[in-house]
Amino acid sequence: MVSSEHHPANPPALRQPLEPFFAIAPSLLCITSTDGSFEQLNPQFSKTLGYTLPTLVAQTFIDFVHPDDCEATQLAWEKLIETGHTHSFETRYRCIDGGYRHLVWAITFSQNLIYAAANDITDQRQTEQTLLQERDFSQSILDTINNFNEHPESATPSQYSQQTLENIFDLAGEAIICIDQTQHIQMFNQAAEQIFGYTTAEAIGQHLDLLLPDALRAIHRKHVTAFSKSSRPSKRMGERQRQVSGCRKNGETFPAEASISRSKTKDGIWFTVMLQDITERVQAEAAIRRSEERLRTTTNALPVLIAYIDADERYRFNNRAYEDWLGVPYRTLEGKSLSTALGADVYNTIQPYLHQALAGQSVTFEVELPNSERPYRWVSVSYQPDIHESKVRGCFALTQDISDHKAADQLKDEFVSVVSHELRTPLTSIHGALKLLTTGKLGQLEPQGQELLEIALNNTERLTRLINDVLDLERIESGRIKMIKVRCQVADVLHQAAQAMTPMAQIHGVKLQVVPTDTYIYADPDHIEQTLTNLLSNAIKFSPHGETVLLRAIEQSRQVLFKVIDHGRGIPEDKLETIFERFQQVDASDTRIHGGTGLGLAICREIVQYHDGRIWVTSIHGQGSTFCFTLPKTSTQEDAS
Amino acid sequence: MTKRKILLIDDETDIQTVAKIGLTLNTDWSVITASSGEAGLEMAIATAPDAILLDVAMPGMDGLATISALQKNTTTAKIPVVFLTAKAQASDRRRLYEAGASGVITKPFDPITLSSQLAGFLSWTI
Repeated sequence: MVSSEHHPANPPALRQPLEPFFAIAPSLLCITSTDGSFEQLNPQFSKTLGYTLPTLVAQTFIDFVHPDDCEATQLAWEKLIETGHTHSFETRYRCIDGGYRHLVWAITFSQNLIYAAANDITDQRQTEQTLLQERDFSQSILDTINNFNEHPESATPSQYSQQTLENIFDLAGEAIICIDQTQHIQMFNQAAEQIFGYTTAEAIGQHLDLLLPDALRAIHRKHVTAFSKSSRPSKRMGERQRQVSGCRKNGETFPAEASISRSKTKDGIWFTVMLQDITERVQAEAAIRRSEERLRTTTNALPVLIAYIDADERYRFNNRAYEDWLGVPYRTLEGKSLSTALGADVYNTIQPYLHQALAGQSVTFEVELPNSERPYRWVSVSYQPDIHESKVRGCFALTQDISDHKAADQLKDEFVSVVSHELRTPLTSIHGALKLLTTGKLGQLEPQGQELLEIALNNTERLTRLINDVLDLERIESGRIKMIKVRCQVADVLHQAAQAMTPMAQIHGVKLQVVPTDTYIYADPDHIEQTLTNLLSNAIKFSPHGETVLLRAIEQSRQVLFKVIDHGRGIPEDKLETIFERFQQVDASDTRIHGGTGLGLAICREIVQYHDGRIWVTSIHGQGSTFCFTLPKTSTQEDAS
Repeated sequence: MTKRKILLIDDETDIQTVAKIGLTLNTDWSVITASSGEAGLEMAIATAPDAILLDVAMPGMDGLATISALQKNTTTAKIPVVFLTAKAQASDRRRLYEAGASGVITKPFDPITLSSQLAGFLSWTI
C-alpha cells in the first residue's frame, strides 16, 4: 500500500499545479486507498456533507453510503480494482443531519489509489420525483377517464375503474369537469360542486356556459373549438392573463386557473378541464400589492432616502427620494449594486460601514457626499441589519440630508458668540466708568448716590458673569472649546482653586480647608480648576459666617473622588437633580441676592462629563451640602512615565 | 525718571476714556490714544511710547496685524505691547503671546487695577 507511507494531505499522484483545482472544484473530489480509507478530500466534501475533515478521514468511503446502495457500490469498487477501467455509479451519501444526498460518482484506479469525483444531483432527483408524482396523478385521472369513455358498452365502468375514479375524484383538490364535443358537462367532481355550488346532478348534461360568466361564454366556446382542432394534447387555459373566470351558482364570478386536455372516446372527443379556485390567492396577492403600494406611497412621501440592500450589496428597494439625490428614476436602481449606483468614490466611503451592517451590526454615521444638484451635502446614514434565523439577509438603509441642520447649528453658535462679544464691549465701558466713580477719587457722592452707584456696578458685574457663562457653556456644548487633557497632580489643582477663592472666602468670613491626596488625574487642569472654583464659590456664598468649607480629594481604585462640603442651608431633595440644569436654582431670588448666573453648575456638569466623570450632590436640608464629582486616574503606565 | 508714556489703541472711544482715567488714577503716566491700528502705528513711530496697550478686535488693521507692523519697524520693534481682549480662552491668549505680546489683559478690565496689571507685565514699579 502506497498510502500509509505518505502524508494524507499530500499524496504523490497529485501534482503540485493541480492542487488549486482540487481546492476550488465545485465537485466532491477524493483519493482513497483500495480499502476505501480517505487519503485526501477537497473542501467541497465538508461543504456538501457537513462533516469536518477529521471526521471524514476517520471513516472509509463505504461508511457513508446508504445501506440500500452498499451492495452496488461494493460491486462497482471491486470491478474497478479488477479491471482498472473508469466506472460511474450513483449512490445516496449520508450527511451530518442524517439525510442523504444523491451523488453521481466517476471513479478511476491508478498506482494503488482510487480517484473519485462526485456531483451532487439531489435537487435534480427531487424535482424529478415531484414531476413523476404529478404526472402519475394526472395520468391516472386521464387513464381512468379514457378507460371509462372508451368502454362505455358495459353500461357502467368496471368495478375497479369506478372505484379508482371515485377515489381520485374525491382526493382531487381541483375541480374536474369533463365535457363532450358539444361542450355539455359529462362529469363533475366533489371539488367542482364545492367551487361552483351546483350538485353533480344539476351540472351533468348542462352546457359548459353554465359555469362561465356571460361575457366570456362566446369567446370560450371559440377557444374550446379551436383547441379541439389543434394538435396539442393539453394546454393551460387563459394563457395570456394566466387565469380564467368562473361563475358560481349564486352568480358570483371568481378567478381560476385551469388546464384542458383532450381524449378520444367512442363518442368522439371529450375534454377534461381541471380547475382551481384562486380567489384567496388573488385576494392575498392584491392585499400584498396594496400593502406594498401603501409602503411605497408612504416612503415616497418621506424626505429621507430609504432603501433595502441585500447581502450581495444590491438595492432591493428605494424610495422616490433617491430620484432627486442621484438624478435617476428610482425604480431603475432595484437590482443594481451599490458600487454601480453610487460610483466608486462614494461606495469606498460607505463600504466599511456597510460591511459592518452586513456583519450584523447597527451602524450610524455622518458623512459628506456628492449630490446630483449641489456639489456636496452632509448626510446622516443609518444601517439596520435584517437578520433572519441568525443570518444577515441584508440591511435597511436610512439616509438623511442634515446639511441645513448643520448650517443652522453653526449659525446659532456664531450668533451666540457674536452677540456675547458685542454685549461685552459696551459693558466694559459701563463697568469701568462705574468702577472709577465708586473710588471717590473723581468726586464724592451723597450716601444715596453712592448706594445707587454700587447697585449699578453690582448689576453690571452680574451681567458680565452671565455673558461669560453663556459663552462658556455654548463653547463647551458645541465642542468649540478644546480641553487638553494632561497628567496633573490632584493636590496642585486643589490648592490653586482654593487660592483663587481665598479672597471671596475672606469677604464672607468663611474658612477654606483643603485635604488633598497624593495622586494624579488625566484632565484639563484649567477646566477642573474652573469646576472647583464654581463649587467653592457656591459653598462660600451659602455658608454662614465663621463656618468652614472643606475641599477634599479621595483616591479610589480607578478614579479620584472630589468633594466640596459646606454647612450652609442645604438643598431640598426635589432639587438635587435639577440644580445641574440651566437657570435652575434652589431659590429664584438666589440670582439677585447671591449674584449667581444659574449656569455655574450646568458648566461644571459639562466639564466633568467631558472628562468621563460624574457629578452629583447629597444634602440634608438645613445642615449643608456635599458636591461630589469623579475623574479618572491616570493609568499605572502613565504614572510611571 | 521721566514720565512714562503709554499709547492706547482701541476703536471704542468710551473704553479709551475709561482706560485712560484708570491708568492715570494712581500714576503720573501720560496716556495718548489712537482709534485704529493704522493711526496707532503712525503715532507709535512718531512718539516712541514706553508701552502700547492694544485692542485685538478692531476694524481694518486688527491687533495682530498692528503688532506685526510694529515689529517690522525699527523705531517701534522694541516697544512692549500688552493686549486688551474680550477673548479669554487659553488658546486665544497663547496665540497673542506667540505673536509677541508682553502681556494679555481681558475685557472687561478693572480700570482701578489696570495700571498695576500693566506695570506687572512690564516689571515696572509704580
